[in-house]
Amino acid sequence: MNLDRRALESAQEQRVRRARRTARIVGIVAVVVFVVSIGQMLWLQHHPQAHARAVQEALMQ
Amino acid sequence: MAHAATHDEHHDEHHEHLNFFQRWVMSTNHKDIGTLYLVFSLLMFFIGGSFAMVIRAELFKPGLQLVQPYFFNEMTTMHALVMIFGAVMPAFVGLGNWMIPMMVGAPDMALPRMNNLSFWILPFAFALMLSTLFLPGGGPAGGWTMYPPLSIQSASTAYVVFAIHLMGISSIMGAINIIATILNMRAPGMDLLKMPVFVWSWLITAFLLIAVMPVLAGAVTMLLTDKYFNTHFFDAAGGGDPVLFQHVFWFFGHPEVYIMILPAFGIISEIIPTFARKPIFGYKAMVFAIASIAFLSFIVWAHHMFAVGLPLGAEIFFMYATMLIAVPTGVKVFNWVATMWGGSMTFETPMLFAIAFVILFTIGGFSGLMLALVPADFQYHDTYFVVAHFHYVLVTGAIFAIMAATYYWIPKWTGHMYSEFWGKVHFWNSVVWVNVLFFPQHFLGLAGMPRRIPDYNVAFANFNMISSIGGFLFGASQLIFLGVLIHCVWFSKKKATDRVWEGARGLEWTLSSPPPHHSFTIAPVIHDEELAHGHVED
Repeated sequence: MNLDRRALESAQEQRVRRARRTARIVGIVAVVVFVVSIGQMLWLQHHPQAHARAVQEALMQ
Repeated sequence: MAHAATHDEHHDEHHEHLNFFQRWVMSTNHKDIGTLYLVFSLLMFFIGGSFAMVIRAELFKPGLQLVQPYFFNEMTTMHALVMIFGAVMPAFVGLGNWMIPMMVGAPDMALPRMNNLSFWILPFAFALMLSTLFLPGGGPAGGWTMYPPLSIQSASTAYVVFAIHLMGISSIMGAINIIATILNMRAPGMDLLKMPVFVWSWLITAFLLIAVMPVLAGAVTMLLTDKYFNTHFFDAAGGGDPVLFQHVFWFFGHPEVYIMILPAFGIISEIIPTFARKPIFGYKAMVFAIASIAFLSFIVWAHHMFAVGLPLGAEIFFMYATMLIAVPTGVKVFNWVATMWGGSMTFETPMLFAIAFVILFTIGGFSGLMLALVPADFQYHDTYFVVAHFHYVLVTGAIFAIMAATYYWIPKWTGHMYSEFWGKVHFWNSVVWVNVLFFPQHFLGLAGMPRRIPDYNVAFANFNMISSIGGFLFGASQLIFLGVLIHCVWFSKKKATDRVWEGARGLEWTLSSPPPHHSFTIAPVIHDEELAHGHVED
């Protein structure tokens, strides 16, 4: 018979377990934001025509 | 509200047997770590303040008299970095560490060991950054915004970037801890819309931190690779664009402003109801206003860049989006005033600072509205008007709120009352001299004096002299604050009661003063009518 360990947890232990899960999710979000912030600049580096067009539009006004 | 505070005798006995190293360096207790943050923040406040004294001394008269221009630029850069990342942000994290678990009925932060790590990274980060002042080539001098190509010409780029990475990691870990604590560790019955406004303000601030600190880390990483690894993200000669850095930086930088002011809104929303002896007016509106301000903070970043040449449509969008922030901010100001209206008010030191906050922060908000107007901003950009604006927001806003919070909660933390007389002496000196310091800077900016210069036209001499006198006396006034704190912690004979203030409501006031080392080891019972903001209709 499988023992459901979570059924033995106190309310406090459950809260801490959920808190760790929340912390992991939020931590992953932070890493993704870091990667995306550099990634978009890399994308612009490899698509100079898109960047040049944006700059030209800005300067025309 | 809560049953008598749960005092774990065994743990408190254990805590008393710890030596200094174990108690403070290895601590995982939210109260001890909160104290560490606050002490660190106070130290940085005085270091950053001493840099400001150098700036004001040099600007006392036209001409170069005390320091070389490069050193002056180092002082303006370091003053900003130290005050933002070393004084204001750690102070709010310290206040959050101390108060959030007690306000939501949790025994501690959700991740206590990470809490320890997020504090102890900070002294190393700042030791690294401040050490550049003593190294060959000097410290960063390109302004706290670190715009390339100027910033990467400094010899200290690698040190500063690494220091910022460390501060960022510390802030992100702190934010993760706060989110996990608030979302998961609340006592049963402490629903989200029953939490004190200070807790709400920190929850929203923590999400802002998660969204923008990695962006700053990304931006400075790209600076580093541009300098040392031959990339050309921001190097026009290699096909990059320095203006892109400004976009990335301000995508972090503008929410950063709100990271420094939203917890202040939370603090003021705790203090005013206590001393007006009324629940906060419009609790839900206050919470939604904080969330609205946080959302809007992500879509206004380019108002810092009107002068670089944005498309007209972008300028109009960012202008109107910026002006829109005045709406939720106005809701908050009106609600604070409505809370005081008809209240049975008394004017202890925390309330004096809170009222000064409401008035002076609003002045800073109005000058912000002026800066939001594109044609006006072309005139004001990079002048002392901007310096006056953000010092009204950050000194009479964020720092006054931190001081208000310290006076409000220090009797709870230490079990002793501070000297009300000397607290008021500190307040009146601060509020007078801070205006003498910063108000004339509006006139200097409108007359065209640029910021970040060690010398200026003689036409600006009088207002600069007045501003410097205000600066020296405001700086000296903070020694009174230090004296009040030292007296309260070690010498005050007057014991604080558990509730401390007659009008105080909320879980934290049901604990003893000082609170036990481990509070709420058994979850407290929540009674709605005793909540800080009264009963909230669903």
